[in-house]
Formats: sequence, C-alpha cells, structure tokens
Amino acid sequence: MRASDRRRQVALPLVAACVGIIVIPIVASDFVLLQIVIKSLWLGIAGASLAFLIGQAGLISLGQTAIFGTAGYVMAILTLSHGINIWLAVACAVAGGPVAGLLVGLVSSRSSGLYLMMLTLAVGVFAFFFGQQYQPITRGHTGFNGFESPIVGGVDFNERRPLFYVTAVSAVLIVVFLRYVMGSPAGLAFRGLRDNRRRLAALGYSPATVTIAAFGVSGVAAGIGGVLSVWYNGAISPGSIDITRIIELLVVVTIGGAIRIEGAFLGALAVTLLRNFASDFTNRVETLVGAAFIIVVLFSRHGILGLWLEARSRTPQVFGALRSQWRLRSKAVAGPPAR
Amino acid sequence: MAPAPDRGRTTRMRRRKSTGAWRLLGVLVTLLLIAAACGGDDGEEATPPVTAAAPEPAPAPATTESAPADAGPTDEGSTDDTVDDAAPSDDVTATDDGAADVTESITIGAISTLDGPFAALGDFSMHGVKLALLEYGGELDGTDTRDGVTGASVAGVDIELVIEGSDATPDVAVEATRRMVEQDGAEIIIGPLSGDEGLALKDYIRDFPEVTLVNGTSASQDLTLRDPAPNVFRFGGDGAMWTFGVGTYAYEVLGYRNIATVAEDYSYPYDQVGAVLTEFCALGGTVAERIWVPLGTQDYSSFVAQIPDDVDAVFFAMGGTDAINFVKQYDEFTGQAIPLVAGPTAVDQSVLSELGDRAEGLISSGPVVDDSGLAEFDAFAARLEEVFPGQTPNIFNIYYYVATKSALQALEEVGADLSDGSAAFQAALAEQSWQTPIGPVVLDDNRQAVVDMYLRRVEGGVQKTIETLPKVNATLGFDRDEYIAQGSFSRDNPACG
Repeated sequence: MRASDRRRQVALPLVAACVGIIVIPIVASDFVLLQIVIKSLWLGIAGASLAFLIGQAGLISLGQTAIFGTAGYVMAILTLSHGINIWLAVACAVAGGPVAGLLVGLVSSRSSGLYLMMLTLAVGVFAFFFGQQYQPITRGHTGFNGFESPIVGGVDFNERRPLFYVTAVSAVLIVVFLRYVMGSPAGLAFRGLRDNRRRLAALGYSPATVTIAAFGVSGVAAGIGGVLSVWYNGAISPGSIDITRIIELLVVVTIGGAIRIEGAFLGALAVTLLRNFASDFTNRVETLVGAAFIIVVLFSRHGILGLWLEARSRTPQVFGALRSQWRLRSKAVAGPPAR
Repeated sequence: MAPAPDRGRTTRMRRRKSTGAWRLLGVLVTLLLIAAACGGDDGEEATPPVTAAAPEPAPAPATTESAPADAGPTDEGSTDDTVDDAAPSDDVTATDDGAADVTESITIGAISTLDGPFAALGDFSMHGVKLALLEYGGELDGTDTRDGVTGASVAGVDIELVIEGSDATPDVAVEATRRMVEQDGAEIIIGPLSGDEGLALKDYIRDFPEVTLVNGTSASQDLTLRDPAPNVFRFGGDGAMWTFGVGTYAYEVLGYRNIATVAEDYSYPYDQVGAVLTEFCALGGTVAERIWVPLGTQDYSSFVAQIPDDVDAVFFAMGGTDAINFVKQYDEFTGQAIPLVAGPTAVDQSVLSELGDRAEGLISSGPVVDDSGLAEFDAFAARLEEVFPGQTPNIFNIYYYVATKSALQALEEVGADLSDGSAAFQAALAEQSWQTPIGPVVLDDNRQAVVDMYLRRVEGGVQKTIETLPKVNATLGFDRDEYIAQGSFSRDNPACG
C-alpha cells in the first residue's frame, strides 16, 4: 500500500514529464519552444537551486547567480579562450557548479537570515564585478559571444529541438536528484537547519557544515542551469549575472513557490510568459511582473504552487473520492497504471 | 499535506475565513495571466493551431491554408504577413484583382534600451524612428515611448511598427529581437542602441538572411568591420569614427604631447580611446596613463587621483550619467587644472544641459553639431520640436531616424517587395546615398557608412563646429588591411610607443 503510493507519486510525474518531452516539440512553434519552453526550463533549473535552498534549508541565497555564472563562464572560457574540447569543458563547468556552491556556502556558513542574504548578495555582486573587470579572463563587459553548442553525430545542439531535449532531460534529472536528496538523511538535516538551527546543533549536527552541504547540492542545479543558459544564449556576459538577474531568480522562486522545487519551474514559466506576451497589450511589462509578484506574495504564501496545494487541502473529500476511485480502478487493472 | 505550519488556533481560524476570498482572487489573477499569455499567443501565431488541426478534415479554405503551413513548420514566425501566407488565401477567396504576390503589410521592429541605465536614451531613439514613419503618412498611437505608429505606408503597403526594449544587456536584446522576428514577423529591425547588444544581434540575425538589421547607435567597430553579416547595415559611424580627428587636433593645434585617458571599461570606449591614440601616437604623442573605470561608477575620486600631474590633457570617454558624474567631480577636485578633451557621447546633446557650464569649451569630435547650417538638420530639429515638444537633436534620435528613413527609402525603391529573401531590398539598401540631417551618407562594401564628422567645441550649451571632417570611413583613412590587422581596440591596443 505504502509502496504503491510512493510508486504512484514517483511514476505519475515522471510519465507526465516524458509525455511532455515527446509532445511539446510537436505542438510548440519554434519560437515558443525556444523562448518560452527552453528558457523556462533553464531558468527553472537555476530557480530550483534557490527553491531548494529556501524551501528545504531555509537559506535565502542571493548568490545563486555567482554559482550559475561560474559554471557558464568556465565553459565559455575553456572553449572560446583555450579551445578545449567542448565536452571536457561542459564536464568542468558542471563540476564547477557544486564547487562554487561549496565556496559560497563556506563564506556564508556561519550566518543565517538577513546576514546570510547580505553575505550572499555580496558574493553575487562580486561575481558580477569580477566578470565586468577581470578582463584577461572574462573579457570584461562584452563577455563571450558566439558560443557554439556541440554537434554530435549529426545532432546539432544549436538547433532548437535537440537543445530542448537536453534541457528537458536535465530538468527532470535535477528534480529527481533534488528530491532524492530531500528524501535522504541529509535532506532531514537540511530541514532541521530550516526549522530550528539550535536544536539541530543540539542533536550533534554542525549547522555550518549542513549549510555548506546545502549550498553544494544547490550548486549542482545552479551549475547545470548556467551551462544550459550559455547553450541557449550562445553567449555569457556580466549582464547575464547582474543584480537584475539575482532579483529575477528570487521573483521566479517566489511566484512559483519555494515549498517544492517544482515551483521554480512554474514561476519561471509564469515570468517568461509575462515577459514575452504582456507587451502585446501593455507598455508596462516590468510593472506587470512586479504587480504579479506582489499579488502572489500577498495572496499565497507559497506562490502559484501554494494555491494549488491549498486548493487540494481544502477539498480533501473531492480528492479523496477521486483517489479511492483511482485506486479501485488500478487494482482492477492489476498492474502499473497506464494513462 | 496542509502546507501551513501549526499556528495558534485563533490565527488558524481567521486564516480559514479569509483565505477563501484570497484564494479566489489569486486564482482569478492567475487565470488572467494565463489568459493574457494565450491572448498574445493566439493573436500573433495563427500557425500552431492550424498545424494541429491539419489532420482533421476541414472545410475547403482551411485546408488550403494549412497546406503550406504544414509543409514549412519552421518559418511560423514570419508567415503572418509574408507573401507565402498571403498568396494561397488570396487565390481561394479571390477578392483581390490580380497582384497576388504583393505583400499585405511589412513589419518594422525597433529595439532600443527602454529599461535599465540607458532608458532615457531609448526614448530619444524611438523619437527618431517615429519621425521617419510620420513622413510616410503615419500617425502617433500615443505619447508613450512604446506606443507605435499606425497608418504609415510605402508603395501602397502598410508599415507596422513593433517596439521592443532591452536593458542594454545582450541577452535581453537578443530575446527581444527574437520576439519581433519570430513572433511578430518583423522583416526589418532598427537598432540596437549599445555596442555589445549590436554584436549579439549580428550573431543572431545572421541565421535569418531574409531579415534586415539596420543598426541604430550601436557603435562597436566589429558590427561591420570584421566578419560582417550580409544582412546588417550601419548608416552611421562607429565609436572610432566618432572620435576621428581629435587626436590630430590635440597634437597639431592644441599642442598636446603627453596625455592621459579616462574611459569606461568596455568595448565602445576602447574604440574611442583607440582612435584618439592611433592618430595622436602616429604623430609622435605619448600616453602617460590609461585609466579604465567600471561602467556606472559613482565616485571618481580614486580615478582622478591616478591622473599624473605632468600630462598636457586628459581625454575622457564616457556616456550618460557616468560622463556627468566624472566631469562634475573632476571639476570639483582639480578645477580642470589639466584641460579635458571629450569623447563623442560624453558631450552629446543629450547630456549637455546637465553638464551646464562645466562643459563649456570642451573639445570633441562627433556626428552631430548644432550649427551645421544644413537645411536637413534645421528641418529635422523643427519637426522634432513640433512632434515631441522640448526635444532637440542628438545622436540617438538622429541615428535612429536616419536608419529608419534609409530602410523606408529602399523599400519604396523596390516597391515594398521583400520576396526572394529580401534580396532586392537589401541591394537597394546597400545603394542608399542621401543627404541626412547630419550630412551625406553612403555605404562601403561591408554596408558600413562613410559619413561626415565634426570637430566641435561646446559654446553656450550647444555644439559649435570647429571643422567639418568629410567622408570619414571605417578605417579612419588608414590602409584597410593594416588597420584591420592591428586587431580590435582594447585596453592596451594600440600600444602607443
């Protein structure tokens, strides 16, 4: 019973994701696929790293763009400045994510709350200025243009559909990975850090170490998001990690809801849709994004996802009935539910 | 599963009562947002639904419509207004008499920095775009920068204007342009404003050879000088051209031998400093110190302190508020003990009024002077004041105007025919040669303008001509191969001694 419940919890979203990966490229136009879907996915991955930190470990980090940018820059520098094989560069960049994450964690390990925000903000701004000014390595304000994604056996990852598959599969893997961590004893320690730092310490955990570990885990997602953003933009410059992007990540997570990491993808989708389509009927796109942010914060503590979760918890009988019906049917079929 | 952590009973009850209404509101807003998104989707992109419906048997007109859409699902963005789409539907309905291959309307997309640090400059540039369209029978939709122009037409074809803004970062500029090209079906793009945006857009637009990019004020040399794209046109100068003549004037007339430079730390100021030093050092001048300040610096005291005491002059290349802050602080710290020589945008008309007396007497070179006496300039200034009260000509409104008008003139010459991948249009655009408000313009083989520059001095808050520098080209009169071979200007290129 318990096992089947869990299987359903895991299987259903996975099946939905697979269906999405197959269906979306068929239905969506080139423009929507690239600028809405792929953008939301990589922005969501970067957002997921923040949603994980906020929702699980209670660490509001403003330094995610530093991790994100480190990975993106590592890949761009290795390929465009040093001509290193693209896959090696990608591997280094993906590895660079958690390393940068650990470093950001190390810097902020002894703080929490407001002070942690200030420290990580400093890290984020530092990364921006490093990119802007450390010319010999980062090429300054211009950054790196003309990045070419790899071509493998006739599959050109500069094309939109291959890029979509890579991004979508990465997103699924990131969610699976983060959920796995959340379910592990480490995940319990992260939640302990969020709920009561002192009690966690009393249990023998070191809050500092747990903080560093949480940043390391989030760095995996942020790093992959950074790599994919460079594949998407074909470029990286300090403008990709400036204070506006720091805020954008925070908005994405807040609108989507940090209560679950999937919320980041919802938020990324909402923000991307707003940015792209709101200009058709208003001249004040940024105002609208800001208003949406305020409304969501006012009316739902946990963003769009929170609305859904609350709706579900408010109507347990309906869902309960549906669920029992479902259970009956799946028992009748006696096998994994096929949808 | 309830997400709310345990609170006091009373709080909980109060929450329960109010959340009903709140939730409703929240859901409403969400629905609105989604509806908004879908609304945009439906309006702009008729194609995806058609493709999806294609397998089902549909009434006659729908099937003929869907056939070409099905065949070429990759160019959905442009099907709205282009010949491909118009032709079959005309055949079926047969409302038009003949001329089935005439495009119904042409969409021009204009991009500038409407958000972020250069937002004010973005407003100026859109004034220029709109002025050009007004000359072709358009009417302003409203007074806001993002309000378009309707009713303009060229050779009987309606011109639609789409306006998008960036925040001066390349990423955002590319996304905004992609929206215009692939979603709104823009065939011609006017813009962008800043240098690095231009380089990013060149990379993007290269993949859409049928779309034409007519640069606004992006002054990066390599937009056209190195590795040019066949569908990118620039009807104005670049950062180096705008600074042409200053180095020579400083050496020969002002008698400076040893200078320092203070400039923002990115590609556009590199071009300005590079151009000054190329001339100055070729004559035998030396540079004591090159100081690079981060974009958006507020406090210049430490940089001013780095300026050596024994230099004859300081050349500074900055834009917007940076220029204002620097000049004010330099003035306060040193009383301008060492004379300043300015870069083109540091004393552009758009910032002159803010600088006030501090700008008096500053020497610079640039494309716009207020006393050129050209009839076209005076007419432009009068029209600008008439349509947008209080506005005066500056580099941004003039350059965007020239870009837009060049495109419209070329469109008129080819009868607004953008068939065959805009081949005829792009050829006509490359041949454009006309008297702009700031002098004659003609393009070279890289589709880069050869234009007049002005050596100028600020007097009474306006730019007065010292000397007109005719027909400045992209290599500043130096040998083309040698000039290109010396590489892009950077922090330490040219070496200078």
